[in-house]
Amino acid sequence: MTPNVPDPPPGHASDSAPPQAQEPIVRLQGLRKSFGSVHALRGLDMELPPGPVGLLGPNGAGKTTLIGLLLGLVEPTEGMAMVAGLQPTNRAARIEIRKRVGYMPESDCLLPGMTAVEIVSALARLTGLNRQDAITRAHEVLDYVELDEARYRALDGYSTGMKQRLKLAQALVHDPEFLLLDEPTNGLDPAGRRHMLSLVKDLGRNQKKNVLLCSHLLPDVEQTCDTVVVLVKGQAILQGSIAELTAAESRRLRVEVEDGASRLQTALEAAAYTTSLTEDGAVMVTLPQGVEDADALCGLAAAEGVNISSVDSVRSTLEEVFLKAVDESEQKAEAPIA
Amino acid sequence: MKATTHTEVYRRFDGELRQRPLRSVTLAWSGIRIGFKKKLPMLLLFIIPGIFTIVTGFMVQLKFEAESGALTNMAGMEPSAQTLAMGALLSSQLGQVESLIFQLLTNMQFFVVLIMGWYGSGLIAEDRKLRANLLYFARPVSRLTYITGKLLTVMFWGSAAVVAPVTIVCSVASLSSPEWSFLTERWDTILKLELYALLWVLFHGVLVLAISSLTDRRNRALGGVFILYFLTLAGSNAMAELMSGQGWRLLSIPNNFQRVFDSLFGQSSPGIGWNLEASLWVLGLLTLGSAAILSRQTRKLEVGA
Repeated sequence: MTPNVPDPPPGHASDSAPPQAQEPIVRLQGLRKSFGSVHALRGLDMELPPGPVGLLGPNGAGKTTLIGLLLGLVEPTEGMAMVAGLQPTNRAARIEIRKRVGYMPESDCLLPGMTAVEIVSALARLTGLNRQDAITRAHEVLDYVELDEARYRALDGYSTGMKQRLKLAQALVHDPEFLLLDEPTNGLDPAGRRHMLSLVKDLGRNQKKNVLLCSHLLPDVEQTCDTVVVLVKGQAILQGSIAELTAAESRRLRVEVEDGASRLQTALEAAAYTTSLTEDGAVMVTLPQGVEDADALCGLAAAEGVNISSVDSVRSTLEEVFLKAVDESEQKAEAPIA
Repeated sequence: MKATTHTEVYRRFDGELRQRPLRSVTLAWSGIRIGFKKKLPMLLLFIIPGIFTIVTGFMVQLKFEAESGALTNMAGMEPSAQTLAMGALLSSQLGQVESLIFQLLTNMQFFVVLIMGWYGSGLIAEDRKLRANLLYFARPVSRLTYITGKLLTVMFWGSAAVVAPVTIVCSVASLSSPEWSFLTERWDTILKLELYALLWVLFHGVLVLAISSLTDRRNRALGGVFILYFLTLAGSNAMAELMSGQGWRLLSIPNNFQRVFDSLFGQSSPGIGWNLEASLWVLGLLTLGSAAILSRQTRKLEVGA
């Protein structure tokens, strides 16, 4: 990857009104959207910081509605959505927002019969680039996504990976400051997925683009984003930096032993510890209530004659955090109202 | 493509975005380019209108050429009688040429519907099916721009089938007529012919797009266009015969256009005896209805529904 890109000159499309450093790129306040009796979004309050942000959520969580609201395509029922300091309440603001946002939809959405160069340059002209710039820029972004000679072929013979890269190219063609990427790794094979994620990572981390990556694939978000928002049934049930959310939990320990892991497990369970054995022979232990450190655990191991080689706090994976948050949200929803 | 990582540089765009680009023209041009790539349908659809145009052009030229001998024969006549005879001959020639062009226009009507149906029925239906609307509306493209772009696309093909042939034949007539007399004497007819052809194309463009916006299958939209067009034509004529009431014919689009045509060019067609206003009302209401459908359906496309 080559992050050494010169600073853009004045008049740069993305620089017309750059967000202040660390100013949130998206600000939502009490955002609600209902379609008749269906409540797609139920009062979202959040601020998305600049940089790569993951938007996780199952189907029907309200991700597409949120994208529509951010692009100013859908009017909120209540509340406010602000993108790059602009509120899409009037036509001028909506147009301005769409100039600053690049959107990569989840669906196929590419018209067959056209070549990649034709599609990207036509979409560039629709955004406002002049003819010459549109062609030049189309080639630049197609170079970036590594769509080589295929760019001159009609789309009909494109693989899914090529189509996904083409969709990313069209989102980048006007060099937007904010990228909305909807399931960019959808349908890709492992090599294609890796390539796509490396592009997203480069855009977010090296090119300093603000990226909102909508996905249901947690590893994708974990690899490319700094911050995550989990959306379930129109509500943000979890949000924060991935590092904080997956921080080590002091009550969960990974105990590596030289020998006798199963003996230690039996002894710990007898003492009300929750345990499990990993494939590599370590014992995962959750401390019971009233036990604050590993001293008692070491005592039990010594009593059983088991030599402990290491005791480490365990970091949660994003998947565990996600599932826990979803479970808690469902329990809350099912709980009778007092 | 490298599996591990990409190696290309991301280049920033250092140009500026235009404030008021002609987005609808860009959109239309994309649609037209796609149409040009499908060469076999284009050939099949345009071959007969093309032949009609060429044959009519030849006939118009022959009409003036063949009677140029008659003008030579008038050389020995008295000057006043010669002027009168030449004037009468020219007037007769121009009238005959006009009739040829009217005939061309009438013959083209079916092909215009066919061509506009073929090229227009997929314009919104395919966008809906593939969700290409998401790419357009995520950009600074308004509904009006989108509809105008699609309308220009379908109107381009319709114009190629009717406005272009009329223009070509009128040009041939102007060039072949003595002293450009067709242009100087019948400029109002030429203007009305072009306007009528454009009105025809505009009306059918809106209608085809409205039908296209109601479905996500191009073939269904195409079927819908033909059903609406030919079923109302056959049905209204049949009802008019059965019920002995000319009013039934108002239900048919081509009958109403025929009424407008008759009124514009001072013609009279059998079975069409109602007021011009009635036809204008029917066509106006159909256009408004189609525009309302188009607007509503495009709004749905805009919000990604």
